[in-house]
This record gives sequence, structure tokens and C-alpha cells, in this order.
Amino acid sequence: MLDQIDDTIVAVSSASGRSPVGIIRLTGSQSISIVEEITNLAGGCCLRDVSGSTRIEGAIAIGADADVPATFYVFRHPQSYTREDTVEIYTIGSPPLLELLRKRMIALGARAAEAGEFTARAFLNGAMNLAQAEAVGALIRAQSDTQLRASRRAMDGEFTRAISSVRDGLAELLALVEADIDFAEEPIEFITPHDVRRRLGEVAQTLSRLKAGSIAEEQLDQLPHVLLFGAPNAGKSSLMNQLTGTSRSICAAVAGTTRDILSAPMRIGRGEAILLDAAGVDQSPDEVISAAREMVLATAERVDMICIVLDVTQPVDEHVVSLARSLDTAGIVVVANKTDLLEQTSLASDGASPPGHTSTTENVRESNSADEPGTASQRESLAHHERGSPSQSRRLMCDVVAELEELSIGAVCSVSAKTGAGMDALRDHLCDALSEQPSIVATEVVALNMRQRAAIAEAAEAICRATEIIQQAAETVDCADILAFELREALDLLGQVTGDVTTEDLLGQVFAKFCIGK
Amino acid sequence: MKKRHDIIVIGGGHAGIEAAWAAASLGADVALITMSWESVGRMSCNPAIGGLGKGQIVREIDALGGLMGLATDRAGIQFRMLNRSKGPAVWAPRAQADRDLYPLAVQELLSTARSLDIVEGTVEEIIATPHLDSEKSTDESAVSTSRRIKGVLLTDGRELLAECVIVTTGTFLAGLMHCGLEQTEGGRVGEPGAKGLSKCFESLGIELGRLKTGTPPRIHRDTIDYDVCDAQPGDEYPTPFSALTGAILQPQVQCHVTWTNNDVHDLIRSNLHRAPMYSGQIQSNGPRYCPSIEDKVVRFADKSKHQVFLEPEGYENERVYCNGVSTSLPEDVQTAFIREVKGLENARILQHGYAVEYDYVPTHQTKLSLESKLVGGLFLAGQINGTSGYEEAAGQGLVAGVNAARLLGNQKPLILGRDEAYIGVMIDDLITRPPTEPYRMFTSRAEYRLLLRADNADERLTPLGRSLGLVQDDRWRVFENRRKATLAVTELCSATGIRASLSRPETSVKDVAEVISRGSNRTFCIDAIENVLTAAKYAGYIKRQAKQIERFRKLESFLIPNKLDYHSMANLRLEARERLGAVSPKTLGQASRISGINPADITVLWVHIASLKKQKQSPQHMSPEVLSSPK
Repeated sequence: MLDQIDDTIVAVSSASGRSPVGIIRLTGSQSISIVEEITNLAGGCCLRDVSGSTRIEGAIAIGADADVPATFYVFRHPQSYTREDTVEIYTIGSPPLLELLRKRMIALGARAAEAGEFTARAFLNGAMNLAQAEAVGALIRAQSDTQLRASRRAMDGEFTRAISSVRDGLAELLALVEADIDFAEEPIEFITPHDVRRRLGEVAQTLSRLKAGSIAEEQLDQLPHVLLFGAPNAGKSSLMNQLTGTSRSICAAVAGTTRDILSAPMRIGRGEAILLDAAGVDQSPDEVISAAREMVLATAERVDMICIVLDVTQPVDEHVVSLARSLDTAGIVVVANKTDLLEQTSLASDGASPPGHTSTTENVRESNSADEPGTASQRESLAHHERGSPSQSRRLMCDVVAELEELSIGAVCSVSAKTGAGMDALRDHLCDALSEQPSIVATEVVALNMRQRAAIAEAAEAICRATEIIQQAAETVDCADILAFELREALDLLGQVTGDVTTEDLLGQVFAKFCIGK
Repeated sequence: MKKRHDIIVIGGGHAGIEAAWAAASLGADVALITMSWESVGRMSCNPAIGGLGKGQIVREIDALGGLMGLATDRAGIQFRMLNRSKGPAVWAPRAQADRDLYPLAVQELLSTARSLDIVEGTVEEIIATPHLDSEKSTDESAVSTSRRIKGVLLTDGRELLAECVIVTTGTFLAGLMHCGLEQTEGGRVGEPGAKGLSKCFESLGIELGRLKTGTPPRIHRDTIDYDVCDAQPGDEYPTPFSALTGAILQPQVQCHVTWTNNDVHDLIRSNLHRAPMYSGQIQSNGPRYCPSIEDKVVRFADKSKHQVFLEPEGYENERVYCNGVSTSLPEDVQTAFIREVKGLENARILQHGYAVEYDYVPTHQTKLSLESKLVGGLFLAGQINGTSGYEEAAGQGLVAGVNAARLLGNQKPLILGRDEAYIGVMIDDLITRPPTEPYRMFTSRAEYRLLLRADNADERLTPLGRSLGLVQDDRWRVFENRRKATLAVTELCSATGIRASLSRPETSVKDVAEVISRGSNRTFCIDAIENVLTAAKYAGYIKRQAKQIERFRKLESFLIPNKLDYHSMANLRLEARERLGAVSPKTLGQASRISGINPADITVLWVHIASLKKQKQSPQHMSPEVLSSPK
């Protein structure tokens, strides 16, 4: 039905910064053949020959003799998340390497994915049912909001003020070159080749300074990292949203919605930390999920702090607890989540609920529909409750906390990611625990994502080509057609970082500056 | 007695002519209503056709079997290829035309049309009925058109019936001319405006806006001192506009250039209070790219001189058009300042400049087919859509004519893509980003400019024109011959090994001709060699754009259902809902070009449309509550 839009898209889908494993994901009809181009598989085996869903060990050729180990997951249509041919490459989580690979894929015919596009395709290809359409829309919007927020934050920084000024300068230059074409009959030399060269030189210089100073990812890397760790559906994504103030990760009614590691900056004390949200750890035998679990565990060993997220409506998750004990991590805090589903005092368990908690049944229902999905046991407990034995199904807050403290994994913070209760205490706790980290005082971080940085690099290349073109020309008019082509490309690329410049804007500049027209 | 036609075209200007010609070529029975047959094809403004962006449009009209190129070749008195020193992608043909010969050429061509009636008269009213038959519209499922066209009523009481009416009234719709404080109703000097129509549009529920344009004084050719002006000759070898024209044989005339000076500017400054643009008498927007001399003097006060092109209006015509000093100052001021211009000290003004304000139909009410969203069968083309220029008008006229004829035959409308034609860029701009000043084409508006060249208009459009039925056998033969000649040159370039050096800037037509004719007696058409060279020059760039173009085409092919309720789409940003609702885009591609719409909005929209389609496909387990977004 929707086969019109089936080009192959690519994205780096692991968290930015210090992730031990980097994931690149491609989907679309050409994804297998594109990956094939840069792959070395053991025993001369070919990706295109494998069937169904397969995991293959191999390597990526990044240079003449340089190979990087990688694991390939090939999902053939329709047995994939998007129902299109999909390849996931798990390799070393080095941002420059991932950027290089992504660029190679684009050169080989893939297109950079837009916000939420993988999920959109999954939906469009029928991998999700109609009821989820709304959630998909929300996801796309959330992702683009996050991007928007990130670029707005970046707009405050000196770094992107510089990009904006490059873009404006470039727009002005393009306007002049375009004017040289469109107003050929005016007795105006809009711009001399000398001026074009000078301006291009300035732009190139600024861009290369920006590129050199573009250690945004690495800067982010120096902030303390906090990982949310727990079973699927313990409420990690909701917690992420609460702590970072965005709806970055979607809370869908399906356990295991989060498969990749998401990251977002969060404010603690006067500084910032990077909060990571990863796939839930469970004992699923599924190959891919187990790979994701390995990645989470590897990540857990490198972060500065782990929040073990537990669902207080459930019995203590022994699996998670034993995993946590085995981790070699600096600090652990136990986050007892979903306390809105607990009775606050013993009084409440006698049936006399405190004000605001009178309608407990409704609370649970709301929780089910809007926030965390109803797991089977939760539904059971709800059913139980409705049969009229509240004291049996509802646990006391103080009991839960005591029980968790007895485990002596770490300090216990009780919160409700849904209502926001206990968040300030959790933040304070994290701030204290991380206060020895030197960089926590960093008040503002400019976080340009990989795509934005790639755009800057590609714009610099277009400027370089433009410079070559004008070098050979005696007059600007001689090469205005192809000069404008390169300038437009550079401008479009920078537009991805700072917003578009339209033809009307360009014309406006010319009309404001020059007396045009018979 | 009521006469019945298939299509009525109101107005015999450049849009009306092409509309009537195209519709008649497609076999429709057409009536062209004009105030007088003699004024059909008249040039109200400067006597020139073509220019940057516009010349490309004329070539496209020609490639689609239109009239403008042919008429210009017959009536042209000076031909120039603009931007010849730049790359061929931005070359643009331009010609001065003989103001008297041009309408005659048009009328002669029109009189060969298959089924075209010329009706002299003034339309008082467009008759429409609330329409019942929702099938017949350019969109397969157009439900938004609540009314349907029935015909027109003339001021003399005659009534003409038709399935479609194409309105191309130019500046005549409630036209008001200003010359100083003096105001005259009318569309052109000495010609009355169309007063009744504006009211009629309003009663049809169509909102009107107001725009302004201006003209300069015309002076007597024998009162100019040419010796002190710079001569501006035409090209040594004039290039015709039309593929059907072998060569331009008529003699070429010279134009001249002179300059204003500070005395002129002072005079204008001291009389600004008498200029309607500054006294507040004119409120509507004029074009920024074509400012009046008052505007130039005020906005660019530091400039000590402005160019004045002296363009002869014809071989016999004694009027010279003073291009560059369009004005609405009072007559006495015009006479005084013109005489301060070097070379014009004794000039006698034959017609004073004036500004004209007119009604237009803001284009958010119009579809990409140029059919009204509000009245089925009503088409709009030319200045009424907020454009300026003969060429822009003609391009729209052609599309409106084709689409009216296709509507009669229940065929899908012709919508030219931004990657296919400047005409496509123009109409998409008009509908997707409705202009608030008169819209003029510039090459910078076309993102695929290197693809949309004047030299390849036939390759881009003639096969399409043939399949539509617009291109007759003679034109098709010429096209095939050119294609064959180009192919032969391409093959010889490969065989002789010169192919690799074709894209180098220093390779000339002569170099290629020498190499490929070596060892054979064959001669080659320069045009074919130029063709091959140009294609080679841009091949690398066009290839780089290929992915962009491919994605563009995919988004263009994704249709958006007609009656989409954007306001109920909770996941769409509020701004996006409003903007999409205002334009009602036809495709995802069009939606993506609406200002303020970002890629995420497009994905949300896409998902939403897909879920609507899914709902249609499997209604049994889809409850409507799931689909409709809360709030």
C-alpha cells in the first residue's frame, strides 16, 4: 500500500557519548546490499545469502587494511521491526567511527532517517496495530521536540551562534551570486570574484574552527553518567521523562519498548549529568534482546551511578537484584517506583484513605492507561481490589522501603514517576553522590548530535568545492550557476543545524540592498 | 437565446489566449470573451517578452504547443540571449516586440484554432449553481466544491452557458488607475474595467485581495537625442523562442540606455506629496522587484542615478517605452522630470505613466490545477492569481486551459512538477505559499535550476505535450529530428573519444565539431552539439541531485485525502495544524514546502493518513474512537 516510500534509511541508534557498543541501524530494500559493501564475514559468507533473522559475527572494513569487529543482525522482510529488510550493526561505540560508517552508508545510497522514522515505518508496514498509531505520532513528536530543544539549547551557546553567523553570511553570499544571475540586466556588479573568494575563505575558516572545536560529544562524555537499570516495565522511561523534563522515550503499552540506549541531559544541583535509559533486563531467551542485555550490562560497568528501578507493586525482582550485586560500579541507588500505587499510611489500609487518595481504584486505572501498562499480575491485583479486599493487595510504603533497605544494595529513594513525587529527593541524592565528579559544575553543555556535526563537515566540503570553482573564474558571472549550486548545498546542510533559509529570504536581502528593477 | 460551449475564457490577454488555444487544441468547444477582438494579445506594459526565468517559461509554453513563442518570433524586433557569459542553465532568451504586430500575430494564430468562438462583450456575472454532481471535478473525490459553474451573463444581457469558465481578467478586475491625485476606473488606459465581476466573486464566497502595478511614460521617438545615449544592440544571430521557427529574418532595431540624475531625483522628492504611493491614496502592495521611480529615489537616496531603457514599441510605432521610470506622479511632474534626463531634454510624452490597482483572488482558495476550491469548473489564471508578467500569465493560462478540457473528459489534472518545469515551480509556489505582492519568476526560485534550462524545455515537456494531445505532428517531427541529431552527436563523441573532455569548460562547440566531423563529410547542427555539451557540463551536478529529486518525486506521489481535519490531529503541532489547514496540500511533498512545516510534521501526517487508509481497509475491528484523536 505504501510502497511508494521505501528508500533505505540509516541512523546511529545507540546513545551518544561513551557507550561501549555502537549500533547502526538500516532499514529499507537496499539495507542488506549497502551493508554488504563494507562487510568482511568469516569464511567468505555473504549477508545476502542468509535467511530469516540471523546473527553473524564479522568485521567492517573501514580502510584498505583496517577492520573493526562487528556483529550483524540481519532481519529479512517481513520478520523485522519495520517489516522491511533491516540490518543492525553492533560495533565499537566510538562516535567518530559511527559517524564515518553512517557517512559511508549514505554515500552508498542510504538516507539519514528523520525523527521517529523507523517507528513510523514499522507502523506503516503493519507491524503495529491501529491503536498504536497515536503512540507512534506522540513518539515522532517527542523525538523532534527533543531535537528542537537540543538545538535551542545549543542556540544559546557561542558554538552555534557561530554557526548561525556562518549561515547568515553564506545566505548573503548566495543572494549576491543569485542576483548576478537573475538581475543580469542591472548595471550592478553584485559581487566580485575577489569578494567571493574572501567570503568563502572566512566561511571555510569558521567552519573548520567549528569542526575542530566540535567536541560536543566528548564534552558530554565528561559529564557524570547515570544509568537507569531494571526489569522491563519497571518504569524507567517514565522516570527518564520526569528527570529530564522531556518525553524522550515513549512509554508504550508493550513491555520492552525501549530497545536502544537513550540519553538526555538532566539538571542536578547546579550542574548537569547524562541520564541513560536502556532496555529492560529480563531473562528472555530472544537473541536480540539478550544482545541488548549484554550491552546494558557493559554500559552499567562504565557509568558513575546506577539507579536500580524497582516496581513496588511487584515482589522484589531477584534477577535484577542479583545482576546489580554482580556489577562493579561506583554507586548504586535503589529507586522504588510507582509509589502512587501504594497506601501511604496504615490508616489508609484500614479503609480510610487520606484526602486526595480517596479514589484508589481510579488511580490504578489511570496508571494503567496513561503511564505504565498493566502487567498481568497488576491486573490481577486490581481485580482483587475490586472484589473488596484492599488490605491484601495493597502494600504499605514503609514496609516496602524497609524491605528494600534490608537488601543493602544502596540507599533507597521512593518515587512515583507518574506523579513526580520524590523526584527532588532523588535529584538531591544523585547530586550528593556525584559531587566528587569535577565536571558536575558545568552549567551548560552544547550537545550537537552526530547528524548535525556531519552536516557541518559536509557543508565545509561544499565550501571547499565552491572555492575551487571561483579560483578558476575571472568573473563571478562565469561560474555563477555552479557556484550557486555548491553554496545552496552548504546552506541547506547548515540549515539542518540552525533552520532553513528560503528563496524569499534571499530575494528579500537583494531587494533590501540593491535598487533592482526597470 | 442561450448559447452553450464547453469552456468559456474571460479575457483575451496572455493568459486567456493560451487557455483558449490549449483547450481548443484538446478538442473543446471554446468561447473567448473579450471587450474587443482588436485588443486580443495586447501588451499593456513593456513591449518585451522573456528575460530571466520568464524566457524559460516561454520555451516551456512552446514545448507544450502554446502560442507565445511563435507570436514573439513573428513580432520580435530585437532578440537577445541574456546571461550568455554564464552557464547555459541560466541563459534566458528575451525579445523586444512590436506592440502593433504582436497582437496581430496572436490573432492570426488564434484564427487557426479548431473550435474557438470569439465573443465581444463584457462579463457582468459568473453564474454558478449549488452543485449536486460531486463526481465532476479535477479531484477524484472533491467534496469541498460546494458550487458548480453554469455560465456567464454579459452586460448586454446575453447569457452563455459552459461546463467550465476560465477567468483571466488581468488588471481589469475593479481596476483603478492613478495618475497623481487623479483616479480613473479601468483596466488599461482608455479601456473600461470589469466592475461587476468583483461583486460576483464575493457573492460566490471568494475572498478578494488588492494589488498594484505601474507603468512608465511613453515618449515620441523623434524627440530623443540618441547621440548622448548608449546604444544597446540585439544579438548578431538572434535565437528564436519557438522550436518551429527556423530563423529570425526580420531586421533588428536598437534600444538605448540613459540615466536619471540628481536634478530628476530632487524634482521627484519635492513632489512626493502628490504621489499616490506616498500620499496614502494607494494602500495595496506593489512588486519589490519593479519599484516606481518614486520608490527608488526614496529607498535608495544615496544613488545619484538610475538606468532608463528606451525601448522602441515597434517598427512603425512612434512611441518609445521608458523602462525604469514607472511612476504615478501627476502629469506635470512627469513631464518636468523626464526633461531633466540626459537625451530627453526635448522629449514629448505621448502617454503618461500610471499605477493601476486591481482585485486578485488570493491563491489559498485555488487548487494546483488552477481550479477554484470553492466553485467547481471555475478556473483562474494570470494576474488574478497574484502574478505579474506576460509569461507567468501565459504559463498559467496554458495549464488552466488544459485542465478545464481534462475536467470535461473526467481526466486527472495536469500538474507540472517542480522538477519538470518553471511553470510547475510557479504554480506550486502560488498555491503552497500564497504571495502577498505580485509574483514574478526568478531562476533562483527553481531548486532544480540546472535541470530546468531554456535549451532543454522540449526534452522536458514536448513528449508530455504530445501525450496530452497539445503537440501536433509538425512540432513532433521537429522535436524528433532534434533528438536524433543530438543522439548522433553523442554517439560520435563516444566513438571519437572526445566524450571525456566534454565537461571541461574550455571545450567549445567548434572543438567538438572539428573532432566529430573528421573523416566524414557530415555536417552537424550547432544546436545539437551545444545540446550535448550542455548536458555533459551539468551531468555531474544533476547526478548529485538525483537522490533529492527521487525523494521529492516519492513525496509528490503520496496523495493526501481531500477533506482532512487537521485540527483534530492531536500529535501535530498547533502551528502545523493551522498552516496545513489553510493550504490543504494535495501531496505530502506539497505539505513539506508550506512555510513552517518541518520533517517531523510530515511523518506525523503520513502516519495519520496511513491509519485512515488502514481503517478503510479493515473496518471490522477498528473502532472510530481509537482513530479520532482526543481534543
